[in-house]
Amino acid sequence: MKKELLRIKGLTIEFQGEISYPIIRNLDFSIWKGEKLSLVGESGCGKTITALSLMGLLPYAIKRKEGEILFHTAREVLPLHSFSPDSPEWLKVRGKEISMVFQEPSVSLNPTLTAGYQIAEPLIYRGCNRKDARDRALRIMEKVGLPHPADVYNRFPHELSGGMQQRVMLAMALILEPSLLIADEPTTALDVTIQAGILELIKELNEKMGMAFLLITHDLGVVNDVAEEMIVMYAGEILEQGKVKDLLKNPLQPYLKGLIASLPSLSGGKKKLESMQGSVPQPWERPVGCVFSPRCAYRMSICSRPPLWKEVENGHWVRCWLYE
Amino acid sequence: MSKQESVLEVENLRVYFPVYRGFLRKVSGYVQALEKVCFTMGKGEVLGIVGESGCGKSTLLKSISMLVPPTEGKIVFSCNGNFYVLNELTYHELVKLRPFIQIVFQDPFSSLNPRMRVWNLLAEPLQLHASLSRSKLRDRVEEILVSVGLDPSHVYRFPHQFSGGERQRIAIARALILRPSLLLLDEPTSALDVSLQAQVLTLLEKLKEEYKLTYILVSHNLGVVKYLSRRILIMYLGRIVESGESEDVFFSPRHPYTEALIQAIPRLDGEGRRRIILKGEVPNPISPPSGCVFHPRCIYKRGICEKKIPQLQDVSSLHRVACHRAEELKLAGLG
Repeated sequence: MKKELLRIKGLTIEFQGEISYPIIRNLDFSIWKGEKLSLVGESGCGKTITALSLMGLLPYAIKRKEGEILFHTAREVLPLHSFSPDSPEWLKVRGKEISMVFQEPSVSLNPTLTAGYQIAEPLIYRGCNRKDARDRALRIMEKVGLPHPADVYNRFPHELSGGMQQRVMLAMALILEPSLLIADEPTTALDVTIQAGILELIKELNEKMGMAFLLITHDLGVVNDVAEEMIVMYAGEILEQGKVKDLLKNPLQPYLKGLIASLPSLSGGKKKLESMQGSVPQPWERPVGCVFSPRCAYRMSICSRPPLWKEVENGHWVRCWLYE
Repeated sequence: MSKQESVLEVENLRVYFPVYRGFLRKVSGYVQALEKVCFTMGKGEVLGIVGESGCGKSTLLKSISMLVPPTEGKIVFSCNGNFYVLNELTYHELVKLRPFIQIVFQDPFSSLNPRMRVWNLLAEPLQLHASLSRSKLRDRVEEILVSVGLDPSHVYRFPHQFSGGERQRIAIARALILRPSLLLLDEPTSALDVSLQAQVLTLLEKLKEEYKLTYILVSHNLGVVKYLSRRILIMYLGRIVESGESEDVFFSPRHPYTEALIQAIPRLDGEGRRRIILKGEVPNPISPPSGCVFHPRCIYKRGICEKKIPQLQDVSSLHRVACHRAEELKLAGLG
């Protein structure tokens, strides 16, 4: 029986300024214990904002308007949406229950602290003595595949390669053994051969530690490699959700169809690339009705009204008028 | 392949960057960015260059365009029936050849001057290299904008008013406005989203026919390279380790590095394949490993690999590889 870990209910996040506009609208999904979930979309779709809202790290002027984020710990249900960003209640969640790995490791590590100290810091902050913290940090460093942990512990981030820096980030995120890891484009800045190693590691951690992950990426190949479930986001809304295998074999929403068709295929002969016209709309010029309709090849007159969220096949949900 | 007119011949190209040390700035070593790179390109060909960061792909493009002068070797460029050795020309002779070799850079957010309007960006190369009347200039700019798929009425906009894909189109237009014969593309789509990447790739394909171009395409994305080019070079640590027709290289690679590279790509259709995870990192190009530079990470290495430098050798027609064990190894490709 699968247990719910995190539930997002009708989450709307908006930019509040002289003019306000929603960045994410009416988001609804759950993350289950030990799940391998992936959030896919192009840049500007609201993937990162979704992740930051789960960590209570939304940037200034971007605020939750409505909706709930509920996190189930072993004992209680925490309403993350009601915590203010600097409230001490976040201590129970950030790092301990949910932790995050960011896109660019060279930017997210503190250049003035040694790699090892940054990994051990969450423990020291929570009152663990330095020696024990160091021992635990060394153990986790070994687990994430950093060579010679004792040596790397005393090195500064600039002395490490990109792949090693990302492993340090992972060790940092994992040291408190969270039940959910959010990885925001963890391999985009890395080379393919290094990427393969990091993805393999995330998969392994999920299987061995039973840690659920939410992998944010724009690369459908990466999704196919590591995730089991996927959510497709476009312009702040979820357009399609289901098992990775079903979605990639049989995409329903024209957006996902277009994304797949616009990837240059590796095996097989040369086929013509079908490119979608236009680009992702800015949040302040969101189309009415279906958000994808201005770029959609199958547009009908009904598309000016918002389509419903519908389960077309078992576990395969889509938001599109074609399937009404 | 019939004997083609060659556009570019690169012979034994070496690019070394000195490393200075100490108060007196003594040269303490060299970064061996490119080591004995040789290849020829026929007219109308698309050559893909693949490798990870730090393998010298971009340095190769920069030295072909003479932005980084080679330390040793020859770059022979042919144009209108004449042959020019680019690295032996004087500055003024080189300037005359610049219109024929143009380059499109990786990131359209930083390669376009944010203070120049599209008109200035596109007209500038023409004003420098061709003396045209203002109306002719305007015709050329409009013509190029249309052929890269932009609206000519946007000519007075600034780069920041365009999206990433449109900006890359401007960069391509700027490179093409002088009607070059050789276009160097340095990761033209890596800063773009998937749907925009497809738009730019189809555009590049269209333009190649329209302007009879020859491309050198550098990318770390094998899918992009496979889509555009028929011949590819695989580079590792400044050396060519494998070269050949792209079908041959992808479906029957002969170098262990190529195999690892191909197996590492996350794919939509790849199930149950053997994944090779390379150990360690790309070595330091200041002191490359002895023998075959790939041997510290190679899973097939033998004693000879540490001692002897493998030379590029033909394994079949047009397919060349630098590996001691190329004959005996059975490596997995795509499919």
